[in-house]
Amino acid sequence: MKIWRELLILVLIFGLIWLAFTWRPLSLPGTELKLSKEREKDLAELIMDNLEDEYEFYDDSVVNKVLKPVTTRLLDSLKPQKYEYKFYLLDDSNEINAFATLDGNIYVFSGLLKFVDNPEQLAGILAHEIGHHENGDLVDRLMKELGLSVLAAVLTGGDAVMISEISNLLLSTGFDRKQEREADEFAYDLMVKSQVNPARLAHFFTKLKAEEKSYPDDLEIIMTHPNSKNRIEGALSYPLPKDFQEKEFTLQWEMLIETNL
Amino acid sequence: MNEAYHPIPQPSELSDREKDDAMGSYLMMFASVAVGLPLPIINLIAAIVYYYTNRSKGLFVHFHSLQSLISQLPTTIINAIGVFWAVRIYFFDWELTDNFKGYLIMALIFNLAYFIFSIVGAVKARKGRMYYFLFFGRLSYEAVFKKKDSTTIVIQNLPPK
Repeated sequence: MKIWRELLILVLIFGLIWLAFTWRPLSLPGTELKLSKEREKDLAELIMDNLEDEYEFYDDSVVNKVLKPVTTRLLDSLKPQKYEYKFYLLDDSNEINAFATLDGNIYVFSGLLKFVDNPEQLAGILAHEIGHHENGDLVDRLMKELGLSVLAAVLTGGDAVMISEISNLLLSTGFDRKQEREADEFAYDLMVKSQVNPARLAHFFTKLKAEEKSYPDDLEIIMTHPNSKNRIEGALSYPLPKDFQEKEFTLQWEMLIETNL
Repeated sequence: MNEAYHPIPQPSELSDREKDDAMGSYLMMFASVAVGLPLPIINLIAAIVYYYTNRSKGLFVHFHSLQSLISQLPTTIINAIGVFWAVRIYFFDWELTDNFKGYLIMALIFNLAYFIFSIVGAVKARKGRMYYFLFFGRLSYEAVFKKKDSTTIVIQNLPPK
């Protein structure tokens, strides 16, 4: 009967439109903007200047003692590298956080170092941040959220308000779930290559989850997220190669932190 | 004209009042859409109320208000699912999947199509013309103009012999 044919046509239109736009989603305007390498570098420096105004930086001797052993192992197993990675240690015991800005810069708060149980957990978090760099999430997010004004900020040599806004954006945990998941996957992979068990990240997330409840709300806590359960499962279920063997860092972690921070 | 259906009223046979009421059934939706945006169910309730108060005003008005009512059902459901899905994503997943983006665009297109067809329907109704939406037009026509089976009435009550 005609009426059923018309109903079928209607349902087909419904399904086809949905399928068509699922298969080929409209790209949002602004994602086509590109940030050249040189500009990214300039912007990274401006952000660093801004962070230097806001936080105390530990000097290189401390960074070399505390972060270097971990980062060296990670970077040695990361080939090829998209950036020349640089790690900085900021003094703020209340911030259990690490974040990546641009051009391979990664900032770690002293609060995070005091929070983690061992250097293996730290390796996992840093691998995650490196993942954001390698996947190009940072530039992507910056261009999506601030777009042309980022380019304007670089070209005009950095308007203070603008740069501060950019730093705040990168500091807040605002990646979407897909980017976070991909950075996690990247982290597990890099951890395995660096002979660190991805389960270490699960330990960290578990501890964080337990700790979150006892912290007052105004503390910034890394990766606060309703889905931390999934991430714990993800880290635990990551398939390890058969001959995998963890090689622990030869650091007296607690003593190292106590004496240096 | 098919025997099984009531004749369709022609524009000259309709009063201005009937034309206005028929047009109103489409325009009603826009007023209630504004009210019911966050919860698409509100304009559905408004449509049902409008339908029941107007269906006795003749076949022409009955047809248009029924068509307006049932044609907004899918749009309402699509929107309700969209709202529900968005809330879910906001609270649990925090991820905009391609599936959801595709759905949103599809919902937008359907709402737009519904809007355009309703405007056309309202204009036609005001002129005293019939206007059939795909599927819903035929469904409403069947429901309103088809004669109830009068031939099958069994004659049981007879005058005294």
